[in-house]
Amino acid sequence: MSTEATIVGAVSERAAADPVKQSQRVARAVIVAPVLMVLALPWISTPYLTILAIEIMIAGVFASGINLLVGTTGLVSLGQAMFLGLGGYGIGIGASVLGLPLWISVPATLALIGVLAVGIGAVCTRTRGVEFLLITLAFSQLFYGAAIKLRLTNGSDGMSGIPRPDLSFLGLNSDNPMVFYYYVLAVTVLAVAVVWRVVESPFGSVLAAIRENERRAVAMGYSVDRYKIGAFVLASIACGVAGILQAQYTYFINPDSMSWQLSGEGVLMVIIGGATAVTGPLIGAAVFVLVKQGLSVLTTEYMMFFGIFFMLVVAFFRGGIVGAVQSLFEKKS
Amino acid sequence: MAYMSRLSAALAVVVVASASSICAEEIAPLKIGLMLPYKGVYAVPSEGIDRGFQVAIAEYGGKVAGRRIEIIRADDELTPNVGVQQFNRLVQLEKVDLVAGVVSSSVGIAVSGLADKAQMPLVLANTFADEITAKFCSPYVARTSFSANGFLYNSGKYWASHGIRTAVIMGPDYSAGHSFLGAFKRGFEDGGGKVVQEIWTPFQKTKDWAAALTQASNSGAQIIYSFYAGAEAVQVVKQHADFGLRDKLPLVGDHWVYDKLNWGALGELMVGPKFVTTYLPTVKTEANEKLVARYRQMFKQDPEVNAELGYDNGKAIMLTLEKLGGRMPADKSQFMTTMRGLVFDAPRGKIRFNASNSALLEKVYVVQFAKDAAGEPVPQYVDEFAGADDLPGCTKSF
Repeated sequence: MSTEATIVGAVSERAAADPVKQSQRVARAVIVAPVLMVLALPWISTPYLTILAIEIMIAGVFASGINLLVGTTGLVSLGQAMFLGLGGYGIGIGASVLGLPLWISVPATLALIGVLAVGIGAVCTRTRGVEFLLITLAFSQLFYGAAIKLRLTNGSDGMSGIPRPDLSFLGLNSDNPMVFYYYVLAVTVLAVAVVWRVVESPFGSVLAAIRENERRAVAMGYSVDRYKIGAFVLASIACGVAGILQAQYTYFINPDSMSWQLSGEGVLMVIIGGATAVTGPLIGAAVFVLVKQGLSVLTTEYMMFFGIFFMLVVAFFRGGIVGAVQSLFEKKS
Repeated sequence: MAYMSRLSAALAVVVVASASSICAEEIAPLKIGLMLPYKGVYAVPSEGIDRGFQVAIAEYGGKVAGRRIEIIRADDELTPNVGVQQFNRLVQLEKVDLVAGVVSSSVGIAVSGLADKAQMPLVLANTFADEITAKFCSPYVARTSFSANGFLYNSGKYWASHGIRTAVIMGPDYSAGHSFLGAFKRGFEDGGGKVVQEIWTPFQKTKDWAAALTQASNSGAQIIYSFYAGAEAVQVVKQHADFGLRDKLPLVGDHWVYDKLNWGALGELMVGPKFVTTYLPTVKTEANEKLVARYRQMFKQDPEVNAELGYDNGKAIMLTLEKLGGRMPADKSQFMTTMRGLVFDAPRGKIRFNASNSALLEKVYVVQFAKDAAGEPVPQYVDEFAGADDLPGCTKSF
């Protein structure tokens, strides 16, 4: 027992002496502190901040999905909100029309989105650059128009009474914002972890190769088209997850959730935060939601100031906020 | 002895503290969140509603049972998602006691779902879509205006019995547009008329009605019956005149198509057409004269239909709070039960509520604008008829 203690003591002493180890410990603290804060947030903050945090996480999942296309693969899409809307409509139709429980409707919705994304992705990824942007926009407007006309989903009225998960077997009620916070947190962590694994995997490396130099990736023998479709499908499923959370958060879904403005906001979040794998979209989503809320409390003309804010970020923070912070640390060291 | 004095000192502290907490409770204002689309297509009507609301609060000196009323404004931008965010802000951050206002039916549907879950009283000002107090009804949601069916079903019957046999309906493609024109169509066809064509234009996304007007003019109908409001109403009326259709195919509508607030933008185009309205500012009733006098005093102009709707909204809330002694009951559904029991004389006529918290319309006026001596537009009385009942559909019991 005592020997063990001395060994641990010696190790920690050595670690303290070793600058590399120390910087690792600092890094660990930098990671651990926010994690603790996120876990404890509903207990230490106000109900309103908890709700803002829920909005940030949902936006973060959406932005992470978009970033898989924009940041990782280099395909700027202006149509990802269609999958956000489809996610919400999926569980909405499941609950109101078909009477299905969430444990069936959620996987079914995500599977359908995946299948749909294969088709749409196969068409869209034949183009690149502005053409890709426009064709994704066209597809999303197609679904938007259909959602407005479809009587099954009440047209532009939308559907209300979208169910939140039934957690009564845990003795919890997900209508409670605190419970819903942890539910959204769990889904967000899972979704972001999957996106992160994808980006870090060999598959992700090929996507990065496509972004950097598509011809070289082709020359190396990669079937570039399939990789791009794969990225499109994964991104769409992530956006669908965000849509499910969004619809559950508001108990409501209507065609506005498929609007191109929402797709644009997602791309804005990625640009503000920076196109890195995990932190960029999340920080972008946080800044986007907080600045928008903060400004809207101060003035009703907040969109103008938000525009100025966005221009400043683009002008002075190359690579978004995360990029700026990284280059700051690189300069120091 | 020392112990006793310490005890009495402690007691004094307790008494003072509790007294001050009672005082604090007395002084703490009652907060009303007022959510309107202050910018964009419905900016002008929203301003009118806001002013009418202020008049209702001012009528009580800004207080009810000695408790000050504080209005906290929020802009829902006519978008359900923004409405949801603003509703949450009002409830969670501003800690309002109830939420009032809301113009767009889409926003109304979205936030009434939240109000129902949060058990937060929501007193809607406009949101005329029938389903709000039918399919989407809630014991925590009331509407102080009227339903689309209440307003336009009998209007359809009226035109059908006044020489109009065929009509084109044309309106914005969203819930309120469908509700209003659907009600007109039911009444018109029940009265023996025929709607020969339906034209739906994208809501908030169109500034050009050329295609719609061309379709309408080729339909061979006698009139176009429309529902548009705010900036869209201005554009439709202007373009309809530019097409030279004013005599050949008159644009008939309601008080939003020919909104007095659009006088500056439309000018002479407002003079002439007959339309239906729920409010006649020249009506000689005590309730109306009170509103007109105070509105003139506060805003140096006459109230119009939107201001009247805002006034009704504020007035219903103030009357309810007065009955409750200025306190929001712990069970907030009691606030709604109390409101549902109200019967009062509003400037538009007698207001009472139906079983699903929707205010009913006593009468509808047919009017026509004429210019008075000062060149100001004044609606002239032509005719009147009773408002219809709401459509059924509320399955909740409360």
